[in-house]
Amino acid sequence: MPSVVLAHLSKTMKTSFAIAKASLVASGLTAARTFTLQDGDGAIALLHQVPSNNTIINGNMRIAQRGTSFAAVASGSYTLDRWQYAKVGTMVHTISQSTDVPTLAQAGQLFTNSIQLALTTADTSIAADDALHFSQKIEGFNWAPLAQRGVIVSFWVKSGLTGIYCLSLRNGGADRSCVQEFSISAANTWEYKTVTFPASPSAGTWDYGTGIGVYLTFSLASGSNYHTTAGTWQTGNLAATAAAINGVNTGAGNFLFTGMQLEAGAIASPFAARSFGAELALCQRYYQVIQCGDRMQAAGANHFAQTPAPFMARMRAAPTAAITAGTRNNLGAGFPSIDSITDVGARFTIQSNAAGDAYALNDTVALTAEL
Amino acid sequence: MADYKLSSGGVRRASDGAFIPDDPRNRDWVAYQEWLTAGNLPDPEFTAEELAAQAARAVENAAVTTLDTEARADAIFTTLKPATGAQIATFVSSQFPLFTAQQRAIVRMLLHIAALTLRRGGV
Repeated sequence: MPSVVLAHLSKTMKTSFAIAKASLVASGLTAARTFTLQDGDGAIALLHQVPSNNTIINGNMRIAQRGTSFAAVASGSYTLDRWQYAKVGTMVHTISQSTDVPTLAQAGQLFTNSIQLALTTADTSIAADDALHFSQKIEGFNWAPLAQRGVIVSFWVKSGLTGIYCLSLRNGGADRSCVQEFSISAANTWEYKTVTFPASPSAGTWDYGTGIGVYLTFSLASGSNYHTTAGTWQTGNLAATAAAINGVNTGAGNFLFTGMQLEAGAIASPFAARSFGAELALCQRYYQVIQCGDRMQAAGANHFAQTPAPFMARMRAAPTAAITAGTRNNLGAGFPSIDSITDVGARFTIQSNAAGDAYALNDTVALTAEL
Repeated sequence: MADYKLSSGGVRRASDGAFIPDDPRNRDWVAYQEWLTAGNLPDPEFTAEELAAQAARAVENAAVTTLDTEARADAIFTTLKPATGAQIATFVSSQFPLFTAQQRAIVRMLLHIAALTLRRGGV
């Protein structure tokens, strides 16, 4: 158990520690816990002792298995890994992996990517059920450690329109929501934001397993059907306050963000960048692309060859599988096929159309088990 | 054509040909269930035309297999018919290396008889 040694701290640092510790205890850490200050960096060192478990996957927008640019994105589509676009209304966006990022001097660490929502068609009049929500659905297993505790979201954001925006947490059952506001002070300028949320209630339809634990949602626009008051958990599926601006109005331009982190407590720790491989593996629980192939010298038509297709990571559920053709020859209609799908693998099958060399080589299979 | 087609262990989505497994945690399967609840019906796994085509292919395949078997037998007979005693001995030695000398002799004798029979038009 880490412990704090106060003997060599200045009075100012002791005071800082006391304030920080009080915040940590208030955020859900037990009073029995103590923390070690390893060096003379005072409160900063204290913060680094707090375990940083970022529940957001691909918060720094480096993983882009589906592609790096998506024009006229359809509602419900996934873009960069784990980030989903949903809309009701006439607004149109192109979403891309951007290299426009906060500087090292600003962020204290190097970000290489952000995600950019470029407005190509504005929606100047938001009807009651119109909305532009950009979300990450957090699996119940991952939400459970944060459930019924205060949490904090931190991120870098840059927007073409100044004003009030909203960030919300909503449960998978769509019967509990908490909305918080944040302000963009300067147009087209990177700003660092932290947004705290009170502990989620035990009441409501919550999934702490493989389903949707919670939606973390940016609202760029929400009609009145989604409006509520900020700061407390409410009954219903709500995503914004009435004070929020229309972020898809004429002139909105680009909305970018990166360094997204969700963690327990009331103090945001520095963005915890995982290794690229570790982040990719987390994404592959929900989406991955594998390469499959098979070949045989068929003695006639309708001869089968089958090969196992193991997945690179165990998936959240048995995934939907879509095959993209590689090099093919002499295959019957409907082949290759992929079936017998579980959350760990599938079976890839070819069938000959006639005697001779029959093959499907370098086919790719996109596997989707998104929430 | 319906939006979905039945398939073993799941359904195929018409829009992109994707296979959707029967897993209630899969959101595409959930969407399919909602589509069913709305009163829609999927296409059968095989249409009448596809079943007829499969049956035709099965008959064709069986015929090809039979022809292949007869062709292989013809090839063996054609090779064996003019074979000399030395050629038969070489063939037996190469094809049955683990046989004892006595076993190879018996095989050679049988093949000689077969070759003689073929030359006399017995088969």
